Amino acid sequence: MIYGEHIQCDFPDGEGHHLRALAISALTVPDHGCCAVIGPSGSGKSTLFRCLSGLLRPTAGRILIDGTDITALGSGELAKWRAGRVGFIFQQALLLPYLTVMENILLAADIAGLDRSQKRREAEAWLARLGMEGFGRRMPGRLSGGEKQRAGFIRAILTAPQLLLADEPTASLDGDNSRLLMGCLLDYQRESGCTLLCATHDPAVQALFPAQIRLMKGALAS
Amino acid sequence: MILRLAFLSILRRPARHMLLLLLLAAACALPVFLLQMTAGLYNGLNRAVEPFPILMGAKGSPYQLVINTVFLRDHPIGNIPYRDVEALRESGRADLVIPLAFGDNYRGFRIVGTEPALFEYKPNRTRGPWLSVAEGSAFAAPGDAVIGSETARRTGLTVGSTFRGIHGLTNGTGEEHGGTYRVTGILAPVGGPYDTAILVSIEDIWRAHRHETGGQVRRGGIVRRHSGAAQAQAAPAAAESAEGVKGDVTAVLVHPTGYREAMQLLQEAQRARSSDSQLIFPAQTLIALYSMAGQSREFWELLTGGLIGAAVLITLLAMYWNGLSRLSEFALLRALGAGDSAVLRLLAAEQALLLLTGAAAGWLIGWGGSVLAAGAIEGRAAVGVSHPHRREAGPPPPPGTWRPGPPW
Repeated sequence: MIYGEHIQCDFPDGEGHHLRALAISALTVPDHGCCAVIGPSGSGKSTLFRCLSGLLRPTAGRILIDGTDITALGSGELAKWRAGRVGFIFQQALLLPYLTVMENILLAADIAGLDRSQKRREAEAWLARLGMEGFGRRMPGRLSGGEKQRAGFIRAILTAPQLLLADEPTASLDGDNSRLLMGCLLDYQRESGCTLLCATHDPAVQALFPAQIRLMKGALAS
Repeated sequence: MILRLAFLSILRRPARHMLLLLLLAAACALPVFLLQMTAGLYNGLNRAVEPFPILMGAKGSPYQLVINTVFLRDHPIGNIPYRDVEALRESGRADLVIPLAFGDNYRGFRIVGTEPALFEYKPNRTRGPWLSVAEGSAFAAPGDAVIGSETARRTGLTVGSTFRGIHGLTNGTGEEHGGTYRVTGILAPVGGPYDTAILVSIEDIWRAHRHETGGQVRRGGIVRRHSGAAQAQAAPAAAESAEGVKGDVTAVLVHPTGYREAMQLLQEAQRARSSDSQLIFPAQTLIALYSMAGQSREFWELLTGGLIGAAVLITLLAMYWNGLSRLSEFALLRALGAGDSAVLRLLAAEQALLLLTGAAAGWLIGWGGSVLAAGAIEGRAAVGVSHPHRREAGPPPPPGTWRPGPPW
């Protein structure tokens, strides 16, 4: 369960003042929740994700995830917590260009210190399931945008995260690839029971989610 | 994981790191090359001068005496009478006095007239003779010659080969004179100028130059033929018709019996102002040469320092830009759960790998370049540019053993 109260995030505006990017008085996402986070550009979706993953420490407020107050954790503890609990899917797949697809997929599992051989078998199974059998040895430069995003998806779920954050995952994909990726995401959420938050502008994607968190100028909209 | 990532980042993106590696390699290669060459040059100079604790020769520039006698370059100052050799022997202050006479060459290799005792001479008592015959035997009869290892290699002369000397000390272009020499032995390499020498009996030199004095014996008279007259080098004046009468010599190698005796010899030479000969410590002369060369050396050191400084600055800048250009990569790693320290370790490991690779490549290039350069000038230069790994064999001298050297 995600519980947040009085979350505030301020950034310096360069003129000696602060710009409030996020101001949420209360946020609750139940266990195994599946929510679309919607709102116009600059409404605070990415900032909220950064706060929920511990990448950004809020200026004020508390965030509890499965009973852990992540705003009270030190940076080292936060990194460890993030490696084991949070999966990230980005707008671009952000695969490291000097690693093979398999090495990229295993990167998060390596950082989390998980059993590499077992995770490799799981990754191969996922690649086969997503129509990318034998792609493990390829370099990312030889993949299409949709294939890269699928590889990014496998990287995110391979650590079996309890919280899966997808930030505009279909923004750079065409319709077919978009549907394929969202199908994978939602299937995985149902199978694993993780909490899934997906920031999106796409109404078709929004319609796939039973619940929505709407942000407007950093605050929850009614 | 961090090291593996750093290694793969460099290995699979060579073009990205090539400039940095080249800069690092250049920054390391330059000082390694210069230091190796400088050290090698100084080693070569010191090794060349070691067998000559004291030299006696005609009055004039001590540098010229050293350059001519020790390094077999330039022209002799002049000659001194053989009685000076005898006087040194009778003084009882030297355990070895060997005359040296120059004046002829074969294809540019100097013919040095001397006495067979030179082959027994041990500059350092803990080591073997300085010039030992590796193949064949030392000269025994008139017309016998022992050649240096480099002379043999570059002229193709072998034991049993014959050749004729050419008057003068220039590159083998001149009038042949004297008798025919026959090679009886080849010296073991000494890593110094005498690898390019041709050693013959001093009587052969006197015999070859009889015509210069018109058959007149010059007793006590110094033949003053200064450098600049190419064909008029100080060829030792010959004895008259009578065999066994000693002629002049160009220089005398003196090995004193001890430090005190060396100083006494020097003092006596200084007192005898009317004499036409001088006595010098070649090591002292070499140090004076070093100090003269010091200013230009400082300039090169300054220039090298500036180049290294510039290379280091550019390298640091390149490293900084490399870090900046990868901020998104580091942000991804943080999002995947890597801590700040892990990201810093990755950056440090990568830079350390680059530094090590660049430094190793630079060291190899610098060292290899200096070896190639030393090889290229070997035999052409007055001294061999030796490397620290090329030390002469033999244990260090026992404590208290007097070693030839300057008296300071």
